[in-house]
Amino acid sequence: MAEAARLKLALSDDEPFLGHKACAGCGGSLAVRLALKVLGERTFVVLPAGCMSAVGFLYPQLAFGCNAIISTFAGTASMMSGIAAAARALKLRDYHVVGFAGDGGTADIGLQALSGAIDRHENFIYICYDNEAYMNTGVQKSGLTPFGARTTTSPVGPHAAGARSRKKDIFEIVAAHGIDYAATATVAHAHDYIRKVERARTTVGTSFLHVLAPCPTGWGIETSETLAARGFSPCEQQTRLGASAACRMT
Amino acid sequence: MSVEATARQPQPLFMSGNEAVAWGARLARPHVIAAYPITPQTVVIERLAEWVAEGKLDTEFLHVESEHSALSACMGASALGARTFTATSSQGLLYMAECLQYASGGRFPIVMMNANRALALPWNIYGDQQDSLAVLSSGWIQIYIEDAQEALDMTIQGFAIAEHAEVLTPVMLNLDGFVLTHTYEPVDVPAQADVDAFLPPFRTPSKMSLEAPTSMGFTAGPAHYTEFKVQQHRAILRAERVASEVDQEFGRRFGRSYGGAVVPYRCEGADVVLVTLGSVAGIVRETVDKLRARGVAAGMLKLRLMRPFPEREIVQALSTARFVGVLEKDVSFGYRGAVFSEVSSALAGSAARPALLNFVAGLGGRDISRNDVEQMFVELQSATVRPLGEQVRFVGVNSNG
Amino acid sequence: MASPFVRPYVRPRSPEDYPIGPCFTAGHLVETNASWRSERPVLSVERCTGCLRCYLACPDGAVLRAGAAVIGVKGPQVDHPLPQGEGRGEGTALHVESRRGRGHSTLVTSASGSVEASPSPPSPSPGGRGEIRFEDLRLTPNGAAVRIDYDFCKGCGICARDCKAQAILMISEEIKDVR
Repeated sequence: MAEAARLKLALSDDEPFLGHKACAGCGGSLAVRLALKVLGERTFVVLPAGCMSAVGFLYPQLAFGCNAIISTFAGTASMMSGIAAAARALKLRDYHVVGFAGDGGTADIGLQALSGAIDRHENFIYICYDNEAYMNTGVQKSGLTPFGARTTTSPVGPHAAGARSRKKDIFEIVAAHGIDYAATATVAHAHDYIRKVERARTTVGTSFLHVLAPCPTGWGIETSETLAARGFSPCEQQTRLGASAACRMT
Repeated sequence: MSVEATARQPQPLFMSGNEAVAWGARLARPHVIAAYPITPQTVVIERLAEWVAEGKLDTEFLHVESEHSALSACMGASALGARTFTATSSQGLLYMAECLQYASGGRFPIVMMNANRALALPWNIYGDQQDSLAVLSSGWIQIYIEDAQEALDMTIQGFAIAEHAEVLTPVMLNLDGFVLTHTYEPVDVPAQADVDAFLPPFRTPSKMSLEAPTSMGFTAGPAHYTEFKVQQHRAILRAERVASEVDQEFGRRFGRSYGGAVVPYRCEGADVVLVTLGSVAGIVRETVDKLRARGVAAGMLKLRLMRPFPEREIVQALSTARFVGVLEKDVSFGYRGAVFSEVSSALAGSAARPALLNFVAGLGGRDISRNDVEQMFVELQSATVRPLGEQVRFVGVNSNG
Repeated sequence: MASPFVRPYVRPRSPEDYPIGPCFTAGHLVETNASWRSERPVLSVERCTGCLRCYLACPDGAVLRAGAAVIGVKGPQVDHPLPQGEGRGEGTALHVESRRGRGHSTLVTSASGSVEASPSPPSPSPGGRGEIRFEDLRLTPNGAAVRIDYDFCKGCGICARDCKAQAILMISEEIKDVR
């Protein structure tokens, strides 16, 4: 209860991400929602092509209450850099620049821009919501898809069973840049994730959060199981291989 | 080249085309510059970086890690209402290709210099116009520049056109790689105060702000997308009139103007006209004079604006010509040069039915000589109305049969 | 206030009436998401411990803290009629009979109609048969720590699944107003 009481002070009652069209039970939308509640309304949000942008602003249903813009798929971190640069040039005060990109938009197509932005020591918060595949386009394998996982481009058959490569260690890649702050998190541990967003918020410099955000649609789990499902353990991957729709994670 | 304060220069400075663009960008006071080096553009961003280091240019200079990121960063900055500038060439222009459509559709008034350069493969760093003419549909205003003075002036004018409330469309300034980017001329550098008076700070309601949160760059489905695109199309069409007004105002203040979308040279009553764009216009103009002296009713039509395409002015300038050639440094593989196709299309609607020839020259930086140009006029004068399937004339290429 | 809300929207008639490029006021909603769900959460005031896990767990921001300002105002284009009425009044009471041990609780309704047996966690009161009241807790104060914004609840069931006090049940949308 003390924890909850503390959170009541830290979190605004505002819901800057409301009315979106994400699937019921979407882990990614929870990651975005909680982070924006921490960061507040003086925030510029960048989202690349992907689930969160696709569900977040389809004119005229615009579900972000704070400033938000969609970037090209590869350009999240570079668009964020441009916003940060303009904010400096225009002498804005008391604001945050945050980006929410998926695992593909971070570790694959967006990796170059992210690397450049960290290298330039941009003042922003980059949050990778990791659902372990290209979910928006139909559950295709990404660089963060775990070994053996079934996706629509790494299906299970007699010649190949699931993804043949290991999950890229994106956290270590980012850390190797000497970034100011990087953390891993999961939407299942909301208090911990919120604490890390808060730390990123007060970090002067570049922050990176890698948050596991299960996708019921892509993972083949019930919409209610998002916070119960786990990801990184190899045992869980075995369960998912060839799992029927009725299989439940415990 | 080193310069002290930007008080009015009493004499012209000797500078390259690239340096002239850098000067224009400096005087326009962009808030953010994000650019990636590529030959033959590099000198532009090097000069800008020098001035930043010397404290002569107050801007946020981002060392982006690719051209795609350069334009993405410019769009992010523009989305906050900042004035932005970038520069690229050939491979870089195509690397940022998705961002070109993104920027024009997003109505971000970015100004970008493009050093026209050949496209791989094979690799070639020299100048031709394949790069920009391959992206005519990108939604950018495209201006083709003949000399270094125009390069400086049009960089300043470019911001005025792009940021105009009726336009809000990005501008691409094209300079022939090496032949213009790296050659030197005396250039008059306007005083900063005069440029400030001509080009006020960028103001737009279309931006993200902390006072009025905004959604930008959003999705629009089948029910709405078309209307956004029609609006975009109408805005770039308005740019022709706006560009002319800006040019006239520039002329009033600085004593130099460039005549609008097309510049006819001795086209009145001309019988044979060569249409062209960019710096090669210099030797075409000389050839026209030489032919006129011999009694040939020759003319040149220089196109400054390829987008929006000045169809009416082209038809008007070519109204008396029986023979029209288009000289360009590109080819749309499988058909003809892009400029030729569009000029032909414009003439299809006019009463005049000239014989038309498409000369493709200068690919990969191959020199175009005065003799080459004179030869084009000779061929034109014996041209007949084209039969279908007439091939492009690649200048200076030996063929069998 | 940074929360989006539903507004009246009339489709622009011509391109000139559209915003300049894809740029528009933030938080502009034209519809709610209520029509998505086939089941909805109902809350038990008695069981709720006020831990706010559900508030943190909802991906749609449809669980509100008690006393929070009402958001997501209904506009004229709500796409699905909600259960009627506000506050306490007429309606059907849902009571849960808890069985000893790790059995499942059965949802009983006093009105005629089908009984949904929800696979819910075991009873928190091992001693006996308690009757726990579950209600559609909407935006009016009712003594619970949270309430549901049924305009934006998609019925995913995370709140019910995640609640450590078994204070939330998912019931079929076919069951009408529950108080």
